Amino acid sequence: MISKNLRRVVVTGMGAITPLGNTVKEYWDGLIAGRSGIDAITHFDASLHNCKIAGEVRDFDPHDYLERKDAKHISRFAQFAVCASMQAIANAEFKINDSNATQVGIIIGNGIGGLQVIEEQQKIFLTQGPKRCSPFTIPMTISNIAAGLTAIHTGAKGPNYCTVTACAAGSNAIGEAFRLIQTGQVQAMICGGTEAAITPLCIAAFSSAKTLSNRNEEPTRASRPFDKERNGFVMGEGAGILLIEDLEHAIRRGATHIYAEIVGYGLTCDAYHITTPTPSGEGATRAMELALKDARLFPNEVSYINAHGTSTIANDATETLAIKQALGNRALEIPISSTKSMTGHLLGASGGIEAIATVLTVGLDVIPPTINLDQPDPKCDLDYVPHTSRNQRVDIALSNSFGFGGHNVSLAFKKFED
Amino acid sequence: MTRQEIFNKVQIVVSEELANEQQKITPEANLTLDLGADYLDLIAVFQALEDAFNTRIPAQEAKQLLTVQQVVNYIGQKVIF
Repeated sequence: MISKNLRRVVVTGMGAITPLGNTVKEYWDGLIAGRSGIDAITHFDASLHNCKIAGEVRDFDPHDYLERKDAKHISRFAQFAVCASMQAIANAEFKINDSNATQVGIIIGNGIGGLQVIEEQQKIFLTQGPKRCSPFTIPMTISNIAAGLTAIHTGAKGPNYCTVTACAAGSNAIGEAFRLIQTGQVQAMICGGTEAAITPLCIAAFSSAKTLSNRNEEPTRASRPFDKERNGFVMGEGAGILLIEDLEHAIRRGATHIYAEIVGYGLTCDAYHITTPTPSGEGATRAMELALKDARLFPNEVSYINAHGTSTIANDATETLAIKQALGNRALEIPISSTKSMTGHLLGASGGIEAIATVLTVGLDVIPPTINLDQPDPKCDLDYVPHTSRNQRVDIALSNSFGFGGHNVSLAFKKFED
Repeated sequence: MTRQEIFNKVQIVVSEELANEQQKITPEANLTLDLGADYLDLIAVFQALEDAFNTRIPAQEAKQLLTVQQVVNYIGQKVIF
């Protein structure tokens, strides 16, 4: 614990752009219906790729949120972040103005940055020479620009940075934002993750590393966490953003809705391998243990886990082991789901959209399912809420995110009570 | 290529680069003050004009071109068809 006088931190607004829809409601409705957002790749010709499927964001028009000139020079991953942040602020009915701008910060994580622009500009560089490279190349591609642009378009002048911890980035961002409010440094934070990496090079590269599913003939059945027939993750894109506040600030300003309270943040590293989780699950175990310790909770109080659940051979078995190690016998009783079965894996944005799913699970007492779990891997022997959602009271929930490089993050959310 | 043809082409290029309506790209329009170009936009505009007219516009000379008409006049002097 950092200080004796920690502030309580609550979620008061949310914004989402996902393969299941471009609002929180569409996203949540898709999750609860057990609908898959995975389909054939349309962003580029994938005919020569081993993997031809992804969870693309569809029907997204940045001009719904941004002036044409602004949208033109904001790359897709940052557009998602800015627009989802605008949704979150509107959802919270929160106004950022001269009187409070320095008390509102932004942390938005991502894993890959503006790779699409890098690929396009590299082609121009090679075919037309160095003088033809766009002056917007760097500000369109650097990972921190999503947070910077969100500040420009919202006016928030508080702490502003980017967590770049691969697939843990979105959860890292929320955890860091939680700490800044908890320790009294700011009153509100816009936080979460964004990613738009469904590009020719990125799909080829992940595929070469044998991490992507190539179940191309059955896109909706390709992401199948904890299933015996899983053969890799399916890449998704989008953004998930939370507006979180000091509880007293939220009450004082008359916040319309408090969705949940953030109570714990655990982060560790495997120090083991660049892509593979340590087989002992030690790092993931400690992340969950630390999140619970931070929240002053015991394993028997946990009522749901939103798993990282990538649908790769290594992750799902190791995460299952880690959950058992962190929660003991309680692990057998806790409903767990991988919403990546429906959205695919949004890399640095996954922690953002999964935090939203977890917050809504806590708030609404509805647990989204793990679809495509037809025949569980014997190493994955917990209750993963297969196929259909479940109505069940959820008081405390964990959201797990683990990234290449061995980064492990677990966030703890609690049903809000005065 | 007539001045009108040059203007028409400049209008299209500037409109695309600055995401402005073509009608706003008048001869008198100042690229910065009226059309909202910042220094990065200006670099992109002159790169696109170089490509469109297959010519070179040195940075020192580009700095002197403040309005659409000045751009049209400059290109008119350089481009001979």
